[in-house]
Amino acid sequence: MRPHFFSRQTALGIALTALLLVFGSSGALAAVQGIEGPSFQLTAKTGSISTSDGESFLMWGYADASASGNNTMQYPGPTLIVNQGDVVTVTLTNSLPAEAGNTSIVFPGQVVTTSGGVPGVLTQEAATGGSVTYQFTATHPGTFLYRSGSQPDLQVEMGLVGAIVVYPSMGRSYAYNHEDARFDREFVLVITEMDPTIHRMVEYEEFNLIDTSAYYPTNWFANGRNFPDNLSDDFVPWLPHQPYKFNPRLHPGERVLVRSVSVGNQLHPFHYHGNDIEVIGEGGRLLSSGPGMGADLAWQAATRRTIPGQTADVMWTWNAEQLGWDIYDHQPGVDYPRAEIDTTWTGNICDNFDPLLYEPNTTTQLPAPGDPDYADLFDPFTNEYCPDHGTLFPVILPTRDSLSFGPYYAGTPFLGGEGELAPGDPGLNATAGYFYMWHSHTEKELTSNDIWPGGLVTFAIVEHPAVPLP
Amino acid sequence: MKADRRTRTIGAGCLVALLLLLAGSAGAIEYHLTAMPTTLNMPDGVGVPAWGYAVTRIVDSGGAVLLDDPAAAAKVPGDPMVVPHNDPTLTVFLTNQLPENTSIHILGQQLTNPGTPTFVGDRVMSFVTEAVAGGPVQTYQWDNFKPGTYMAQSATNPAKQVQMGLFAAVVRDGSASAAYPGVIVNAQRILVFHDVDPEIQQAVHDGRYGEFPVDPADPDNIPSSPYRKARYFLINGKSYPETTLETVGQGLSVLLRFVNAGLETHVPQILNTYLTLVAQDGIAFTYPKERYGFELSSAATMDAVLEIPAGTDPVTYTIYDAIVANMSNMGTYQNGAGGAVVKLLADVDSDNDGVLNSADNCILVANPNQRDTNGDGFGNYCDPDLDDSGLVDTLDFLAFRSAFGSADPDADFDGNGIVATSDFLILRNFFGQPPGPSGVAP
Repeated sequence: MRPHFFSRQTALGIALTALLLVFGSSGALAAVQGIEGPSFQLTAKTGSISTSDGESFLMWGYADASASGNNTMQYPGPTLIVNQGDVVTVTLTNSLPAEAGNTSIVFPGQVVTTSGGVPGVLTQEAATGGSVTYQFTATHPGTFLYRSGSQPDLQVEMGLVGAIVVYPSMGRSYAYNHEDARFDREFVLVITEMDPTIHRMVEYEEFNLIDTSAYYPTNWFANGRNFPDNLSDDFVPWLPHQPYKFNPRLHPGERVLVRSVSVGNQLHPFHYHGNDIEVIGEGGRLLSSGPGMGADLAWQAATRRTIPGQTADVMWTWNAEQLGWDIYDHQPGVDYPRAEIDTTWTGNICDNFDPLLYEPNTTTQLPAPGDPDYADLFDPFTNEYCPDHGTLFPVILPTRDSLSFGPYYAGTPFLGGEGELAPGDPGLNATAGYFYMWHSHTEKELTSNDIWPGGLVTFAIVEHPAVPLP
Repeated sequence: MKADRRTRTIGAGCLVALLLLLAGSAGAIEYHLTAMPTTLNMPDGVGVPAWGYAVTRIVDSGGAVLLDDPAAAAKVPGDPMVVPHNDPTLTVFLTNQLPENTSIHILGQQLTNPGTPTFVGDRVMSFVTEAVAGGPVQTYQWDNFKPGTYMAQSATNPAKQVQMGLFAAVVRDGSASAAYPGVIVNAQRILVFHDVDPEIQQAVHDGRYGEFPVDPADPDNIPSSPYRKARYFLINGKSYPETTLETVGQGLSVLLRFVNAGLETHVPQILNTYLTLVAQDGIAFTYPKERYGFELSSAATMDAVLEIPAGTDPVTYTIYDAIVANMSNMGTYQNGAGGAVVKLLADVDSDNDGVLNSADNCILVANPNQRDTNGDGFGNYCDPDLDDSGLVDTLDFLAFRSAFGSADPDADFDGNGIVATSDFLILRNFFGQPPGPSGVAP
């Protein structure tokens, strides 16, 4: 370990200069990956995806066939992004092989009118080579889904699925029209499964051997990718049909919205490490006891079970509250100017907080969540939990050679810190972020066709406030 | 299973006391059920052996016989039992024509006379007193039946008997005007979701249930519940395209009472609208929830209100299992999909005579009594086509003229007892046109 009298921030600043060159810099918080409405042209077509066990499977999926789209089948389909009140039109062209039969899209939670196409069981369909147009008004904000309504037992499994985000009239920092639904960052999580046998039968054109009632999935996906593929960036060239990652990166204290979209066939207890979640919306509705009441019926848990055909809006925040030690290795009695992290920030970290008011041996209680003084516990710029500011790490770290390192250990326990790694260590955590596994708690789903680790797993990464995030 | 069955019967004295107790509670609605074998006919042509309840007799609280059909066939699910809002006591008389003992209980309701469980060795086989196979009628009574949506099911070896089909919805409104406090609806429909493993049911029928292995070449194929794999997914005992729901009108609030009698979770979902969830397992929500779908676990119930706006065209609502792998008939399709899909037609009543168009023998002429003396599906009010030629023409006029002044019922279009000028005016209106239109005429 480095001696403590080094300025950690100065060292970090040097590191970050290099990082900026890698990541580039962008002022705005990332919007979700997807395509902007209100008019969409989708084509249903074939393509192949990679699974993290090294296999490749034939899929049927949606492609963005608009002039600005790449017309490439993707799994899941493009996330359709619209604003509340938009009149949304989706024109679907069926470019699937003739054996797939007609195809269509259902939009649960929307009142849809159709034009063109041929009648189907659930909605109007596009015959092979044909088209159909769906139209609805996005009256309610929230998270929705779309998927095939034709032979859905087969076509949904084959990949004809996607998410819809309807932003409220309050703007794109909100999930619903209420302050309770404000977020700093948002991520779409589309959960699906795969029974490889079905895909092989389709690939071999043995359609008469397909029996979806014998469905037995052995592969599980977050945004169409297994772990660890879902950590790779959006639109990496080696996953041409799986463009969306699911690897939330965030800063301490940010309100993170996860738009959970379950379009497959199984229920999954999706578990969020790092902090409890707050479920504020389900099925495109704020969990509210009445108009204007906000998310007063939201519920907290460590796990939310995903339900097929359903969506949920989940809030998650990480701020090291009550951890008992300073995650930045700040030393007692030392001032740390905020400007060392961001030159526009003034003052010193946690100068908003007077520890003398909360001496451990006094009777003064720390304010609880909901208390007006609760915000005083956190640095207004870095969101550091100030009661622990300057509290030393309670463990004497063994020497490097006494440790075995996981691939995401940065050689230091401190957020954004620096440390030595063993020679040959992959060092997959250059920014010394904190990795929290988010995954299905049905542990067998942490596999890709029986290969562990894989399947429905990812990491959320808490990054130092100085680490630029898209 | 042929283990020695040791039935712990209650003492004769207690039995007499119990019978007196039941006899003293006159006024309860009575359902007479017979548990017996039947067959579930699937759209792909497969007949799956099943056990079901036949409702042979219903006597209402006032002693009136509402139904008396000793030859009634067993159904899966059994026909719903309706407990009147003003009479909280339900009595079920269970006759057992199955090859083994059975019994019945209602989840969420307290049986007044549970009697004594049956044990096989030290293992419990039934939760309540059984109706012996081929034995006497067994009586079950529920005093203070709680309002809501519930499921009656076999209380004997439920892992086997429930999946064989021994279940039925049981409903009770909270009051004359409301299903639950504040939940005022114009119509109600019951949707029982259910899943079937045809191999296990065939094994039960063949007496092979639990034997190992059914197929020596396939040692994994054990026909018992731990190895269950549902292959058919039904709503009210039918698989699409054979599923049906009774048509409803428009401008109505319809209570959809969902029951999951299957052994798997189902996720009912409706397209093109939202439901208002008002109660779960018979317990009203403090805050009703607006949802387009919901999780329905095994043996759970959910009550949802569907608001159907008034319009001028029929509207069809589609309800299906959002676990879409359940939308086939053992991997096959009839008409593009199968399994857990059902359509609800919300029909209009164009002439406002109280009869929806799809059932109205005169769609555009108000005829509440639906009088149709020649039985051709066209009500007399819109049927001056006396020779059934499909067109009201000169031949019909000649026939009418010869009946004029008589009491010929077919030519008495308005049903006032005499063929008169008023009837002629109706004929004149139709002259040169077909009769009807009717929603029921072929």
